[in-house]
Amino acid sequence: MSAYWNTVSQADRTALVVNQAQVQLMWQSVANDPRILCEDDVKVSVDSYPKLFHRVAANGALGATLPSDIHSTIDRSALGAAQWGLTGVPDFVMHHLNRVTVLMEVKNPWLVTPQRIDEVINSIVRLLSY
Amino acid sequence: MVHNRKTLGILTTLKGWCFFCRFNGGILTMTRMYGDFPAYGNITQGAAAEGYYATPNFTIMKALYYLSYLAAITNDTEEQPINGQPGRVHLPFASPDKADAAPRIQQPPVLAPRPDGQQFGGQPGQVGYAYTITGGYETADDFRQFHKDVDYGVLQFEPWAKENYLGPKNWIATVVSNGKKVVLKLWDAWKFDASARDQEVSIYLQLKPLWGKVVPSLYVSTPIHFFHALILQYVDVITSPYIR
Repeated sequence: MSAYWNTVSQADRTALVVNQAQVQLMWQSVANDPRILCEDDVKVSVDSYPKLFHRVAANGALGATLPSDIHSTIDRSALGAAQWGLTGVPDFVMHHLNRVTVLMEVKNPWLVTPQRIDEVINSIVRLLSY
Repeated sequence: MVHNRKTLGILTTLKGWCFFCRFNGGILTMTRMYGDFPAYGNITQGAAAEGYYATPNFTIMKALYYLSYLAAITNDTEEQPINGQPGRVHLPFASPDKADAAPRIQQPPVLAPRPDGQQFGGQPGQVGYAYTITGGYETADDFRQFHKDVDYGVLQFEPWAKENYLGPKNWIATVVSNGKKVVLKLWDAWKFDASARDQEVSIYLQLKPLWGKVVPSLYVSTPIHFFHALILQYVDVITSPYIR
């Protein structure tokens, strides 16, 4: 990733896309909200913080300056027409030029912890049961 | 990701973020779970104190920005036989009800070199990706086969091909044993229980005298990986140019 950042132009790095205080306020309010308890809560929060500000910074939403390189867009996915023709229903996708480029799954923070991910990576647990 | 031949993936709880990358040959790499939220009052002690991996030289938003760039320039990754070997890659059934290791993607058997020195050519239909629905599927509690004498054990299924896409839940697949097309109707079992699929089965059973005449025949009701599935007769509808 650092190799990529070395290639990002100075204009892209310094472009004013969103007020930093607004980002920090939103990040804190979401990250520290003790009432984000289920998957649906997490989806709403992903909608309201990372998705929104990613769109502003990477896709020029709300009148922000477009970056000079290309970026996928984050969107919700749901059964039916919003399923992107995928088998299964991911919670979010990234897409570019009508091609899904990233599948995004949202999980309950009580069920998927850093320790459980470590166990999978270390092959202590081979099959997640959530 | 394999089922949709996607190369990149993200798992998030909002507090924590894991990033995934697939490679051909059944290889999946994943990061540890990163978090970058700060301490706040008596609600949280911050990401590191809660066990999340620190992001010392990037933020999650930077990672998303980078990944959205990487994703836009990265092609999909279709599982194909490694080393150019002809044949099908098989994806065995991984039962969610068992705690043993999930089976790995199976490569086609290695063929001995031809005596004349020529290489085996990959014939259409011989190379590709298939669901194996033998074994675990037939012993599943909700496996029901209505069309006897046909082996539905292996299906050639390429859902990413536009010509196979019939709608949000429906795709065309090919039964490997007889080469015939079928319709696969799939419900994501992580998001939906089997009630909708089972209700459709009961409706089809009520209409059994009309199978193959007025409604498609129902061949199999089964789990397929993380799906509740129906395997149905494929009906090639020819539309008259005079009907608009």
